[in-house]
Amino acid sequence: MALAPEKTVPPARHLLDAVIQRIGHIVLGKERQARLALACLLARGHLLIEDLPGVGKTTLAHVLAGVLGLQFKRIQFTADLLPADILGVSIYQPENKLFVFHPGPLFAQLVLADEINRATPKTQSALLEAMEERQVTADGVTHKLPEPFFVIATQNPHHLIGTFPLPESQLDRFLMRIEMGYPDRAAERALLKGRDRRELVASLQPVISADKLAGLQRHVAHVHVADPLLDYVQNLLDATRRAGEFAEGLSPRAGLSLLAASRAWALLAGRDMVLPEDVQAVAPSVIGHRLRPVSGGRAVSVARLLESVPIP
Amino acid sequence: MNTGIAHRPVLHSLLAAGAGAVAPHILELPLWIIAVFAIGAAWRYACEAFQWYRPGRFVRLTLMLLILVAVFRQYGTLLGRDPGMALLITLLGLKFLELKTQRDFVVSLFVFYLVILGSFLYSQSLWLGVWALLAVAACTAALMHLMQPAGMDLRRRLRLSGMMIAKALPLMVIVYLLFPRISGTLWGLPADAHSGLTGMSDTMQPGSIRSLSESSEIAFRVSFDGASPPARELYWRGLVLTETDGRGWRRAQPIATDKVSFTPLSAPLSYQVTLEPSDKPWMPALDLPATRPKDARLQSDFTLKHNDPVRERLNYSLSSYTRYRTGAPDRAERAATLRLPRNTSARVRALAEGWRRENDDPLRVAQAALDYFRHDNFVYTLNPPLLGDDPVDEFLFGTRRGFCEHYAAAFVTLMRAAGIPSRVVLGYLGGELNTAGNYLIVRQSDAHAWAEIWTPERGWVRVDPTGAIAPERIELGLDAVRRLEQQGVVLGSLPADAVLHALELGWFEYVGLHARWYWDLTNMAWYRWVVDYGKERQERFLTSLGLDEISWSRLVSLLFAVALVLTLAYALILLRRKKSVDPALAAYLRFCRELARTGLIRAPYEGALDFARRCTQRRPDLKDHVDNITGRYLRCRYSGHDSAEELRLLKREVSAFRT
Repeated sequence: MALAPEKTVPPARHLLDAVIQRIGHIVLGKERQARLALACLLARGHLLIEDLPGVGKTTLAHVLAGVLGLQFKRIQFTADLLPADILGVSIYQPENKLFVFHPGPLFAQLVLADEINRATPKTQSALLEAMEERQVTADGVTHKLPEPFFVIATQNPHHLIGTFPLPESQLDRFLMRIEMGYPDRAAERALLKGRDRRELVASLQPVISADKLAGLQRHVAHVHVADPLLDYVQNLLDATRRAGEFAEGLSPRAGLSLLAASRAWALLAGRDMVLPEDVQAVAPSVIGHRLRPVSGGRAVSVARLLESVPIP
Repeated sequence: MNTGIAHRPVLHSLLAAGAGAVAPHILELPLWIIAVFAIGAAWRYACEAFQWYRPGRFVRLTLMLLILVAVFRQYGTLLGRDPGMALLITLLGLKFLELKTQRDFVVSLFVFYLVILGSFLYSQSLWLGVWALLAVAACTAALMHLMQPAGMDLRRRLRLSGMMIAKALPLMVIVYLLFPRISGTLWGLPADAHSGLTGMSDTMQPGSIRSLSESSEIAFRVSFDGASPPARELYWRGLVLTETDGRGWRRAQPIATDKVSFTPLSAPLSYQVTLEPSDKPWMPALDLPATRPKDARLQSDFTLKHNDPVRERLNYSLSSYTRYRTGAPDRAERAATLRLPRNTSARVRALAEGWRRENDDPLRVAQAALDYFRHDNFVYTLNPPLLGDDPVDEFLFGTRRGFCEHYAAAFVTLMRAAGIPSRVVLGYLGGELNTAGNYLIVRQSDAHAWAEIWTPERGWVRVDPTGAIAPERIELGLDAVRRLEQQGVVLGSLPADAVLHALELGWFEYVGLHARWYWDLTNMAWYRWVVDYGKERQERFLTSLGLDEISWSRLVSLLFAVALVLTLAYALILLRRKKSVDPALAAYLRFCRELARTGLIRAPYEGALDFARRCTQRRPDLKDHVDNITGRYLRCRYSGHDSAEELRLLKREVSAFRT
């Protein structure tokens, strides 16, 4: 279908297709999750992955970093982790009698915050604040975080003993929340037969340069959003506020996030305009964690919400 | 359209709508008929939810025959209102078991509408009207659910169907006001539609009024043109009983007359009566009626009789004189009102003859009888003991506990034994003044029996022996008597102010009473303006519009003209709203309509790309066209490049598109 004006987008599209394909070589059978993660990154958001251990959360983060040529740091969150442990500390240097800031592991382009709910709320807030501000302030001096800056946090929703679950207001800081899920039978077979994933990750060559990635991120902002599409997004927001099914409706920030993610998704599909399908594709990941059912109500189903709102 | 319906939620909607449609019939039809319907519904539910056995064609056929036989045995026929409704409802229950295609569901839903309409054959009350509206809304919502299983949630469906009904209301009102009414019974209810009405029977057996007094059903309502007279004058004459076998009392055949022969002694009272259907021809009137309403006759015993049994609510205006002097009865009437049953006991005769010997004046004899009731330990009670073969004797000398009918029967027997022409009058006494609407409500429980004796000076004179023993019954009404009895008060034992104190209402009862009055007023308005809107009222309404003497064919033309204007106006509004629609969207919707003809229906939430993918899976032959049109549409609508050329091509391709 000749939907895209072929002149402008092909380079971006080919590039992104190559990225997705390369991720697919290592993270098997998870193309949708890979696309969502990439869209999240392109929309300059942060990603929360919720699932059981061992379903490939960490591998996905590793692969993304490798394919995109991003500097990668991993922080394993524990109960005794302190904010300074991730942000960095200023240390007195007797030679020049100055405090010199030693950046923590957060100063990387792609940070994997593993098991974020094991850390104390204090440390969690430090991370979330840095994610939002894209800078770290220590001893009154502001240190900019690298560009691009992308946090993938993981948490295991099923083992809650000894954890500090993120409060709803903090969940909002993540553009998307996705679940990995078990691989299908064929993918799992390929995984079992194939080489060690760690080796594969280590041998990854970047497909894209940091410059190009920044360009793509700028490009996302220019994907066109027409008035009928804004009508649709607003109708969706309205529906969550009027449905009576949710404890509270979506915030305007959620609307902005939905739009940004839809733009990135459209770019991934090689289009320079957002279609309602793009909104529908990202909506479960973008708004699923921002909605809570009213007490005693049935579980939140974004699919049901989408089915209740006609496309104008 | 013969696609199988597998969606369980649609079945739930259907069953719920069916329950709503059938519910009013629970009050009217035998329970087993409702049970068959409920079992059918439950069985089908179990088939869906627990994979129960689903009967095959042979079993269903057998069940249907069984149902036919059962309905026939219940009613002795398969025609008429009750058997018809019974068949409709039981077979619907059976229909649930064979629901498969969309067509089955649609048929069932349409029959639900019919069942809802059918409940109006039994009652036209306000409650039922409200319920029917809700049931229609539920059926319409179920129909929406069927046509669009995933499109909307329950609340939206109900809201949309409510809105559809609201939009249809103006048209409904116009059709209601203008549709030609035919007077008479052409479109009347089937003959069996009036069974089960309560009303005064035309005989009086011991206990017959007692059984009426249990019923709080409304007999009639009266609004007076001026102030209403005091309760002790509100004797509503129903019918006159002359013949007796000692136990029961029957009417004699009075002569119909159009002229009344009495001399009024007071100013006339004018009032309007709204009589509830009773399936009897008696029309209660205040003692004594002087005018004759339409379709009714005055009779020589001063009662009013309708030409047909009253089967629909009847409105009539009357004027009456509460004081009067009547002429003498003719010879046959005199003989009839003196006739004693053969089994009248000797001591009854002796008692009456004793009074007669002492007094010459019939009124004094009557007074002696009343004094006897008053002083010889007679008790007025709503729960009298049962009486045997000679009730008058047993009552006078044995039990001495009775109700108005016992006193009236005993009094008339005594008078006849004393040689005074006398008869029993059956009717109603008093009524409850509804201050909310300033009218009187007379209930079946206000039924009363009193006596009339003939005196040469004054003609027929009303004597109420109940008044001698229980003046509270006359002054305060039967309801007061019942409440006094519940408090353990012996009638006649308390001074007047103590009785009034005992009858004072608590605030709760006070609020309840007034709520009841306002509810009755609302019902009156509903009947007056909605149910009773017949030919006469329609003519009055049309006259007020300046349309006198309009023939019904012109009325139909008028109706269609108004409906047409209304529809056109509504269409115009819709069309004007459509103008603001994006031309690209309009073209695309045309394209969707073309595809819908092949069964490819786009859900309202379905994006154009997804829809195109679904279409090309089902119809690969259309792929090029569908892709082209979808692509052009999306570019026109979402790309932000305003391209007239693209729009032109889109329109052209949509016009050329054929499935």
